[in-house]
Amino acid sequence: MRIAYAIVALLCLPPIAAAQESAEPSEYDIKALYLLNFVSFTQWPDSAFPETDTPFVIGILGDDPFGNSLEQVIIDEQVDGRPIAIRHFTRIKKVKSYQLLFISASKARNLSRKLEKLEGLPILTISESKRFCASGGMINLVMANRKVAFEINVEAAAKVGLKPSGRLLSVAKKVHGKVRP
Amino acid sequence: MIAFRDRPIRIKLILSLMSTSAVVLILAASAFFIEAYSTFREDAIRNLRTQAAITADSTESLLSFNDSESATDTLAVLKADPHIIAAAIYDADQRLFAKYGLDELAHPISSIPSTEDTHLFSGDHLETIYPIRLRGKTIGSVHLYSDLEQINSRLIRYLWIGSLVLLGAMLLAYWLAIYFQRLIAVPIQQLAAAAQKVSSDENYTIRVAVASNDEIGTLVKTFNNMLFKIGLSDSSLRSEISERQRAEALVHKLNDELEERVHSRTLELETAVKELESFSYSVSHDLRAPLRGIDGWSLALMEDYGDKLDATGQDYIARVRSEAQRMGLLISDLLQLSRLTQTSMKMSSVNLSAIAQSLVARLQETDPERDVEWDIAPDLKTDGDAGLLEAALMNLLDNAWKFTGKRASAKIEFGRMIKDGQSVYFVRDNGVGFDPVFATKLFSAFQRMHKQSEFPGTGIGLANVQRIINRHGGRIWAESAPDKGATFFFTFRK
Repeated sequence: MRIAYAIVALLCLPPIAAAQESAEPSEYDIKALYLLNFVSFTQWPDSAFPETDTPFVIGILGDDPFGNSLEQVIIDEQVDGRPIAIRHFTRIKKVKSYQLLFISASKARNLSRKLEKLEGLPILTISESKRFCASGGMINLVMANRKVAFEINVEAAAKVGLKPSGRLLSVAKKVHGKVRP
Repeated sequence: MIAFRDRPIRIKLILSLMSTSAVVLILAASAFFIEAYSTFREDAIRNLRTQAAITADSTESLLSFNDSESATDTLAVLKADPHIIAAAIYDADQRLFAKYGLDELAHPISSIPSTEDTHLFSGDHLETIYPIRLRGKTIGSVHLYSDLEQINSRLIRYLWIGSLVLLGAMLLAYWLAIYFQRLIAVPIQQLAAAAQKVSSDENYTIRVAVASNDEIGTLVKTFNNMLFKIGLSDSSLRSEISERQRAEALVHKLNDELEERVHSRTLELETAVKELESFSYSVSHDLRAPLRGIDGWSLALMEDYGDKLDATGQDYIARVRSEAQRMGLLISDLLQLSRLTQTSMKMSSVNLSAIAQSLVARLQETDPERDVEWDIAPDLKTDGDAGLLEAALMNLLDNAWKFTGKRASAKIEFGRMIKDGQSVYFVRDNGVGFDPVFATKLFSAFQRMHKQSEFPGTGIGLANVQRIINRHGGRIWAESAPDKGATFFFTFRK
């Protein structure tokens, strides 16, 4: 029996050559995936979607650092049955036409002022600059031990009715503000 | 080792009841164990899968955000369950993301594609795989490895309980078997013992107690009934036998008495015959002297005074003399008859043909003028007393010569024929013969068929012949018809 199992096990092993072929994902491949994962662990208020078929829009402010990584990630993906779309912006607009906003490093100056413009809107704000959370941003991607990690500002999220899940908080490298039950 | 079929019914019943119970119990227990084993396995699989599902849920975010340290910590919590010996999380590309106790595992690598919700038993452990899903897509899998201790320990406990139950049930079955076999075996044993006793003691008054109303009860009743009937017929048979024995004894007694009587009568008769014979001998012998006197004196009278008597007187004297001579002949015949019965026989081989030839010559000499055709068969021999046989043949041939005296062409024959495997001798003539009515009277003394004037004789000759033949263990008889001749047949002891 054990021999039979061993043979089956050998036959079923994934080919080693194939595993080596798949290139190591780049930093922004991972960050693109993380964007989507944040969405999965966060709950939006109903007011974020005026129509039942409103697409889930990811907005990117400033230079797009992802290349086509984000497009690759969202292929075949949906958020609660809604298609995902990507929009690029150069200026912050006070509109409800997107649910997630990635602020690229190129637009990381005067963050507090920029974020004030989104006050009250259920938009998950994500960036990758040191003082993002302190400035009222919600999730900030950081590098730790050559790995992508993040810190999260639950108070900022809660203010606009976004509910990041406990799981998400447990993975966060640092949680800003207090979690209200 | 005694064959099962030769063992007592008691053992057979106990063994069959016990073995039936054992088979039923073992079958039931086996079914129970198989069911229990599969239930245990299902329980183990379900428990481990639940654990894997919980683990998958709690490590979903850790895998999503690549936090393998936290995932490792999460897996380490599984140590609370002593049966979970190892755990691993693989990402979507089958790369090991987090592990717990995996290095100590004998067969750590799953042979099943990690994305499938499945399980397998390998070696001495159970492996459960549960996929980690995010947004409807499999992003990795949790592998939990459990030892089979919980299955095995439960199974062993069940085996213990099963064995105890089996033991208890068998004890109970044994007790019940002993109880039930008594209902069947004891009456049969009693019946067998009674049958044996009946057969050895022939005591038909034995009865077996009827303990039940079933087939055995019927058997016992029938047995008792049968014994009753046998007893009845036995006693009647016995009385019949004793009656018959009594009757037989009586017959024996009567027989004995009869024999005794016959014996004593025979003795009396023999004595009487002997007395009679000695009497007749002495009478004959004593009569001779006065007869010789009569003969002598009548001769003297004839010679000395014959010329003084007339013809009538002379005729009277001649008659006296003739009668005296006839009486002398009678007396000598009578003496011969006595001698025949008294003298002992000297046995030797006797040539009858030779004797007959010499007798014929003597007869022919008495009357050479007679023309008689003799036919004497040659070389007829037998064992006997030569003197007696000569006397017998003499008598027979003399008779034949005498009764053919008036035949112009007389013929006398002596020969032998075989009848019913026995030699039968015969003397045959073509003389006057006799009436066959008298065939049996011929051989009595003083019986005469013809007038003295016709054929002279004493009537003793054939009686003598019969006596001689009888003393040789033989038989004599005669066949004849008037004027057709006569044949005398005789035999000797075989």
